[in-house]
Parts: sequence; C-alpha cells; structure tokens
Amino acid sequence: MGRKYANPPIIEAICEFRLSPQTQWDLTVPGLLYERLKQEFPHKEQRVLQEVELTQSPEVIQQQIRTGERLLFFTEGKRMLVQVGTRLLAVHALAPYPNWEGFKPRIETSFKSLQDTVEIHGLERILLHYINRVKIPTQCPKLNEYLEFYPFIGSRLPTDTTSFLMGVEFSYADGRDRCRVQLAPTPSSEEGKTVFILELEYFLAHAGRVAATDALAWVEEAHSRVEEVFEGCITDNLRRLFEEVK
Amino acid sequence: MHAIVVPEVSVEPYRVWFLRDIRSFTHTIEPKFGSQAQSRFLDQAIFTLSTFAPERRPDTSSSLFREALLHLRAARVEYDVEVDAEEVLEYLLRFPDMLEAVNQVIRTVREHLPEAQLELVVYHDPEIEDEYLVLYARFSQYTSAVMERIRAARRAYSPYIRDKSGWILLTTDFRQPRK
Repeated sequence: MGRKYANPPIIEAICEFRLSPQTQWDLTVPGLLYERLKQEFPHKEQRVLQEVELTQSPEVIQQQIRTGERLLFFTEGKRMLVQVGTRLLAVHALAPYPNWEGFKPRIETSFKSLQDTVEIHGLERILLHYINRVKIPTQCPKLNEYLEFYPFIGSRLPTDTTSFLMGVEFSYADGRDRCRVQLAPTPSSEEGKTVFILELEYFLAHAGRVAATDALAWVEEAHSRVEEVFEGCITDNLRRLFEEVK
Repeated sequence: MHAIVVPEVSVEPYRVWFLRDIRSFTHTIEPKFGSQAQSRFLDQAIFTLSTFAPERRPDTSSSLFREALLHLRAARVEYDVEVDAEEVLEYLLRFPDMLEAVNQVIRTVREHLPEAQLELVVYHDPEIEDEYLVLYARFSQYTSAVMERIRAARRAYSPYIRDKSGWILLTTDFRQPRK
C-alpha cells in the first residue's frame, strides 16, 4: 500500500488500452459500450478529431491525416470519464484524484465492458499515465530540497536557468514495459510560487506481450511501479506540502 | 576507441498526435513543413522523450491536460487570443466538457470580430462564489455597433455551450487594446 496524501498533486490520471488492428471494431461498438457503462458514466459527448501520422523513411517524411470520432462518457460530477475511439478505451480521473481504490474499479468496469462487447485479439498498448502539478511555495527553489529527480548542471555551466526539460525512460519486466518520467517547469500566475509538471507514464513497450485476460493485472502492477517511481522522485519536503496522511 | 552508433532509421510512425477541431487546426498542420507547422511540432515534441528513439514508440496518451494545452496554444497562435493559461487550464480540467466548446467559441468570435483584441480569463464572481470564463473583446474605437456585433457573436456560439457544465461569456470592458 502506497502513501496517501490529503493534497495530492495529481491533475489527471489516465489508463489507456489500445487494441490490436486484428480486433474487429465497427461503428456500433461505442454505442454498445455506452449501454454497459451508462449507469456509472451517464453523460455522453461526441467529438470529431483528426489524427496526423508522420512516417519517416531515409528519403521522405510522409504524412497521413485521418478523421475519426471519439465518444466521451462522463460520470455525474464529470471528475471521471471514459474515452472511446477506434480500438481505444481510456479511463480518466481528474482532480481531485479519488486515490487508486477509487480509480481502479472504474478501470476494471470499463475494460470488462469492453471485453464483453468486442473480442479482443491482442493489446497493442496499455498505459498508465499520471500528470502531477507540483507547486513549490518559493520563487527560486533549490530543486534538490524538493525533488530527487532534477537536472544535473555542471559547475562550469551558467547558474541562471530560465527553463528546462528533463526526461528518463526506465525499463521494467525485462524490457517489456517502460516508465517514462518527465519534469518541466510551467508558468505560474501566483507570485512567489514555482510550478512543475511531473509526468509518469508506465506503458507496455512491446505490442502483444500482454494478453487481454492479464491486462488488469498488468495495470495493478503498473500502478505499483508508478507509485514507487513517484515516491522516488520527491523528498520529504514535498511530502509535507502534499500533506501525507498517516 | 569509441564506437559510433548510428541509430537505424525507422519507417514506423515516429509521431502521432490528435487534434480535436479540424477547422481550427487545418492551417497549422497542412501537409507541408511551413514554419508554423514545424514550430508547433517541435513545441509539442517536448512532451515526448521518445521522439528520436529508433524503434517504434508508443504515441502520446489521450490526456485531457495535453489536449487543453493544445487548445490554449491554438487560441494564442491561431486566433491571437491572450490567455491566462494557468487559470484557464485549471478551469478546463474542472469542466472538461468545456474543452471543445471553448475552442469553438473562440473560432466563432474571431470570425465575427476579426479586428478585436481578445483576452480569455477566468472570472471569479465574489458575490455568488461562482466562476466562469470571460472572453474580453477590446476595440480601438467603441461605436454604437460594437455591442450589437458582440451580441451577434454570442448568438452564433451559443449552441456550442448548451448543456455544458461550465460557462463562457463574450463581453467588453471598453478598454483600449493593449499594445
């Protein structure tokens, strides 16, 4: 069981399943899914979107533009939602984060409903993504006092930094999974405060390596890893700001 | 002796992203690498560490936060709207069904008021502890027609915000546009 915070920095958590191209999908699937999910996610919204795919080869870069539709099913308070696109199911939790015990059942319900609706022939990708907005109540904080994941800047480099972007990918499960961690400052309108976006994305790096029947177990494991990495990124000073609940 | 490792050039898609409003983004992502498209691409690429990795990479997630960032960037770049980014972003994540609507409202208002200076802020109403988005339109000259044009723009965008959990209001504070 991980630590719990009264004031968690999570602004969005996403659990996403992308199905293999071999999975049969037609226009009726989102509607059937809504029928199964409408008790928990009664508010439906439809959006048109455009996907742009760039393909690079040694000679040329090709661009393909596709138009698609997404259906969004919101909970009553619109703090959680399910997005359904072609061979895509994503479950989102927005701030205030309901903690894992609140988020996980929605993921399970949604994925099981998907399994009941379509025959899944492989998962191309699974992802658990947490976006944290870390607010530090000082203008120019010493990063090492709050974070254990920050850029190292050598002594021969300038000390006045205006911005940075830092990212690392960690390998898990013999390379099957990866956890991408990114940190970057973001503008703050509150005087005397510094804000960072800390993103943690744990994803299946190799398509088809997890069966649909094991997907929810994978998500549980992913959550444990993300929790470890998150705790590894922060210091007790931040834990105090997040108001750890003992 | 150092080995030089040349990454394999992949034919797999190296970048996929989705955009919610075809009309509003068409100019920025048309199939050529104009200066605007390139800068947007690079801008967004900062969120993707794996952009240059040689093997196939997973694309970005369907995060609403990222989507809201894209919308606000579009508001600034495409429609020349000043945005209080932090507050508006927070508002959009509190009322996520407004994400698409705000994009449509801004596009509609820009079509109706091409010369106005637009600013998008979160308005905090202290009397009823309410908050909503306000899109201020400022003009160098306030003729009698200005309010009628604002009302016409409101009528045009009203279908987009029907039944939404949040609210956006186009108005003017009769100030001069900032230089």
